[in-house]
Amino acid sequence: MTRRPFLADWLNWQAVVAFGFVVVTGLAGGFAGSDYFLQIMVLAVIYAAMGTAWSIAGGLSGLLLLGYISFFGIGAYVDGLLFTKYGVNPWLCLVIGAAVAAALAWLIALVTLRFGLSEDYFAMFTVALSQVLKYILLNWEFAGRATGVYLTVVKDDFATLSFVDRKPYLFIALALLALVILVNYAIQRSRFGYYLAAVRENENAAEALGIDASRAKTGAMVVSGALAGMIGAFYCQFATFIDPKQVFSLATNFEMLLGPVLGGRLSIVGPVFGAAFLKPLQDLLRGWLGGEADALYLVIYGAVLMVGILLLPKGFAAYVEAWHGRRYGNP
Amino acid sequence: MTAELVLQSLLLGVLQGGVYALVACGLTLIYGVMRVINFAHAEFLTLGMYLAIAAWTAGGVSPYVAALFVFAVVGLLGAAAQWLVIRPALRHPQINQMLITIGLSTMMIGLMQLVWGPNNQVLNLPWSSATFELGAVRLTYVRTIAFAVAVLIAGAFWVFLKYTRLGMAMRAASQNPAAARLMGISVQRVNLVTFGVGTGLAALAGTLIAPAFFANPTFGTDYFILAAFVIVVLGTMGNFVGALIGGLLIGIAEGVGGLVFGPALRQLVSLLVFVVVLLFLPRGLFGGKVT
Amino acid sequence: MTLLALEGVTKRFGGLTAVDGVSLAIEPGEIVGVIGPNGSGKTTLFATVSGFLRPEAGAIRLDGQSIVGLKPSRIAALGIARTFQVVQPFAGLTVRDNVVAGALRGGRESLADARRVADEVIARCGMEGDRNKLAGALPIVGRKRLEVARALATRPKLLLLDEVMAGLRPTEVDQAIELVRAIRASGVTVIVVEHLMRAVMALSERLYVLRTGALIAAGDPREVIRRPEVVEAYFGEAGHA
Repeated sequence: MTRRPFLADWLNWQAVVAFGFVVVTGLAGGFAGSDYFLQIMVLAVIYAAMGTAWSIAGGLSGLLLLGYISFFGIGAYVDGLLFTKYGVNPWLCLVIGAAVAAALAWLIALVTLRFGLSEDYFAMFTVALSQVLKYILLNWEFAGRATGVYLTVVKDDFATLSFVDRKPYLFIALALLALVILVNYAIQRSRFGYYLAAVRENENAAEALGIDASRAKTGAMVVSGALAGMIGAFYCQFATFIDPKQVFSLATNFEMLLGPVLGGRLSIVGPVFGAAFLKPLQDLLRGWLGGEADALYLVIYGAVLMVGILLLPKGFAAYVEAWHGRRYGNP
Repeated sequence: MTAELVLQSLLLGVLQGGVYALVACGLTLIYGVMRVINFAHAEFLTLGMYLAIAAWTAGGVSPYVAALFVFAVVGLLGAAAQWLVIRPALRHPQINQMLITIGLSTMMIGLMQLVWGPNNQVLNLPWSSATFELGAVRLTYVRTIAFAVAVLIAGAFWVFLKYTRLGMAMRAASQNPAAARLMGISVQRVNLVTFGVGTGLAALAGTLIAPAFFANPTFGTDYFILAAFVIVVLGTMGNFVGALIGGLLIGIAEGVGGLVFGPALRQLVSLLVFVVVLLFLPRGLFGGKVT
Repeated sequence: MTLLALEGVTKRFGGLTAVDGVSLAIEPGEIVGVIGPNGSGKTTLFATVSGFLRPEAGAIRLDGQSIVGLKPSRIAALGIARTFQVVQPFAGLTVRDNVVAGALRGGRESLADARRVADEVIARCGMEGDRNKLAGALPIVGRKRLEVARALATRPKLLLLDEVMAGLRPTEVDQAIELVRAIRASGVTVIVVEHLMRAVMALSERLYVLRTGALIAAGDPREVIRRPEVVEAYFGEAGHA
């Protein structure tokens, strides 16, 4: 069997392009002047990372994980509370946030599988849970209730992941995105990736082949959840202020899903570029229209969302993949 | 915590529950027939409120008179929305369908905000705050009428589903679309009517509560959608008697829960009931069909 | 040791008894046929043996070990592979990836080994040319072949074939019969559920006959199909067969 060129493989090509995006964004950020643009860039990268992480459970594994922000919010609060109340190092909080979110994901998987929830019910369960967490935190004295958690940053301090300058945040965010891309890629290259694909395509057939569907789904949820927790923890450091309505916002939750859904949730480039394109567009549109014309923004946003999904049911990446197949003479 | 206070909360909860049930009827119908969770359902309720307010302020038309008209207008809008954006997505993955209704929800909120502004609007009937006493409890007329009419309509709707040809066609399509098609039922038309009627019912509920609440673009999403989802699951996503009883139960749970735990936790009560029901009663209260 | 033993297996759905006290024994290396009119419980039996359904009563033993109540994936790992009456391909994956998914054997094989095995199985099943096609794009005969290939890739001890010949043309049926024989020759025990008499008679060394969930005959195929109760089951009731 002849060896095909490295880039002729769709997954490899995607990985190269995605990492290329990370590098280019880093360079662009390095030269960027305004804090405003840096802010937009960091958020875009965060959304890209969230989308790529989500697509492990929601794309590869085909789970209807509609309420994803729970893990993000949990991670944010883990960092916020552990750092401000106990002085735990934020870098460590990234890991702890991931672990706590992973535990939550594992619990959700256990419960929903044990009770045999159908797809639709599972989707609603995850959405409802995110709001349950929101209301719990809104009423929790220790977490600051509606006021939330504030971080004070006076100077740049790498050791505590605190910067006055926005640029370091961009580089760290990009590092996290690179990590998420790597995890996604590694999964798609591994046996675990096969299990997820099989379970997604046909759960019964997968079971008949010896693939434990429950374990595969749980694994996918845990990985997606953990990554979101890590990103959420980072977000807290970046935003320096979190409150329940922000980090458990349903609007934000659905916004984060736009990247993978419109971009292509079975791919890597889909979520990355989907978010990278849509989030800044959204921010700029909101900034431009904003305030008085916030209503107009909502109308346009809603319309674009609907039209986008109708036009690109499999996401943009499906077209890219077809182009790639032709370009590299894949059958 | 006096007995009167508990009774008051209970009865208020019941009144609220009736309206919840009507909203849930529409949501349940849409899910039952089309297997689509209409995340924009609350916006149709809000739209109903706004139209009722407009009819009142512009022409002095009482919401109870405008109700039928609002039902028809919003029902047509809903059907149009179904035809344009939901029908094409029925062949697509679930997540796409869900996000489309979410997009519809966002767009509707934006449109309502454009037309009526973000601030609270109110429909002040001369007797909006009039109350009467039922034993030791004091209730407002508007809420009581809302409850009574809502329950009546929900009941009428259930009869419609059970005994009319169109109703039976809807039920057939919900149980087995392929077989329904084979029997000559146009599933496309049934879906259209279903969505129209479902959203129309939500708007109808909106007109009934317009005299009792402040309207703003996110009113539906803030106050009604959660309860509606709970009821739909309780009513097994398709069983209407279940939806009715579920509505009453939720209204009461919220009312009493709010009393016991404080108003801030009312939403939490609904949510927890939702979660518990999803887990332990995915077949709803009546062991009905599940997806 | 008997490879698969069923004792008094009963499966009920509410008021309907789909499998009624079925007992049978499969020895290693056999090709055994199971026939019966529509609704006689053949597919339910397969589903129960492979773990997708849990019997209300009875014992099922694989190599002497009870497999009742185990998950389908666990039973597959123990060596029972099955095809589905209505084919269940991984439509969005290529033929090769479909078979690799089976060849992984739930994690007991490395990816490299699984790929190797998959390629062998694909060649053995004559699907070389379809390797990179999407499973969903295959015609029915291709999907049936894939179903068998995928099950084979798990290197089972026992293969349950559920009406694989349905919908095939006569030449395709002949190919399928040859394939089943080759599978047995490679050391896999096979249970064949079929409607097509030609295939059943050509393949089966022993035959079981089911009717409304119960076993009504067992033994030598040529002798069994001549028994009056079997003939009556198939042709006795007007309009059923």
